[in-house]
Amino acid sequence: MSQKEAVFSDHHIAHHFDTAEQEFDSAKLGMWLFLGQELLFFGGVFVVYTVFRNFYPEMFIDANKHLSWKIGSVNTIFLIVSSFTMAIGVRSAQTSKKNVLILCMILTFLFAAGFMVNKYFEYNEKIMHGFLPSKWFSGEGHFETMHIFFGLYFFATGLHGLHVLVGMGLIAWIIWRAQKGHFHAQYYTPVELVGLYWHLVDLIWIFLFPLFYLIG
Amino acid sequence: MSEHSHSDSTHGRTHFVVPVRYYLATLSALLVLTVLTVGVSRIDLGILNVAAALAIAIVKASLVMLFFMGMRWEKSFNVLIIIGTFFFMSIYFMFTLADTLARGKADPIETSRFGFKSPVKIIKPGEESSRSSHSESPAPSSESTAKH
Repeated sequence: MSQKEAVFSDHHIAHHFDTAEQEFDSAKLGMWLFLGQELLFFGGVFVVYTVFRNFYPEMFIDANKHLSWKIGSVNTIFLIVSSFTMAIGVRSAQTSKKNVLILCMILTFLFAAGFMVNKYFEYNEKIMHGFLPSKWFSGEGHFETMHIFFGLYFFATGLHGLHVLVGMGLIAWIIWRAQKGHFHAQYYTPVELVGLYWHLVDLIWIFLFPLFYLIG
Repeated sequence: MSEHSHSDSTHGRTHFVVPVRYYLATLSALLVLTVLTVGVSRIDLGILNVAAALAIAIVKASLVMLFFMGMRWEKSFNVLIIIGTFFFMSIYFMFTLADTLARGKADPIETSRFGFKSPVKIIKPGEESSRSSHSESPAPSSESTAKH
């Protein structure tokens, strides 16, 4: 035990909580409420998608040919594997394995970075061809409603990409704190909550991927 | 691995530490389902393509929530929050789509089911001048009905 105290710093329970358990449960309740809100928030995007896909089914199939299902698949695998490394990372925090936690967080960060690099090349290509939302659309296509598809594409994947960037920031913060020995079996709340957030980002992508990249 | 996790769950707080095999199985299932969803999308199944893609996405999302997010072991109140979220989202979908999916479908149903005939005679651009003289008689009659 004395060796353990040398590596890890103690967590002090905030004064408005009776026990560490109560503190943990409150934090988690708040996180689940936030995630519920996030799901409803992305729900709006999926409703708009359904409405417009129903209005212009042929246009969606045609516009979809401009997206690469290969890049989409690689990004899907990146996010799924990053979710796995995140889950193992949270577990390592729960079992006081500091080095495994840091390694897992670095791996998760790298997969997230890989996802964003792919996104960068993808967006770059769309912008080069003028496949942009609304009045900025200047590309060539068979349907005059094609800008709607790219409006949805940029809004949905952009919003999701923003969540990935926020997640990367949070993971970097976890790595920084983990190195200081803040997280161990007695206290790992931030790791757990960032983990939940990261899985949600994966969850949203699981729906975005077939809806945008795998049509027709 | 599994015996290791047993000892972990006893020495920490009262929290349950999920055995690694659950995470490995979830990862494998998600990767297999990703290959499957890409494979299915390459084959033309008509309307079934969308159904298959959504079904696989729902299975994948459930796996992520149950195991990666640990909802299988989560407090029931937290599970209720997420179930509530999906309930309200389904209302959002249903009320919006009840309008947009049904546009232009109400009129044909009404004519076939109740035999309604529109009292309005549609004026075509060429006929407009020939009907203008005839239009004088309905105008005073509508005025007289308004008085009574």
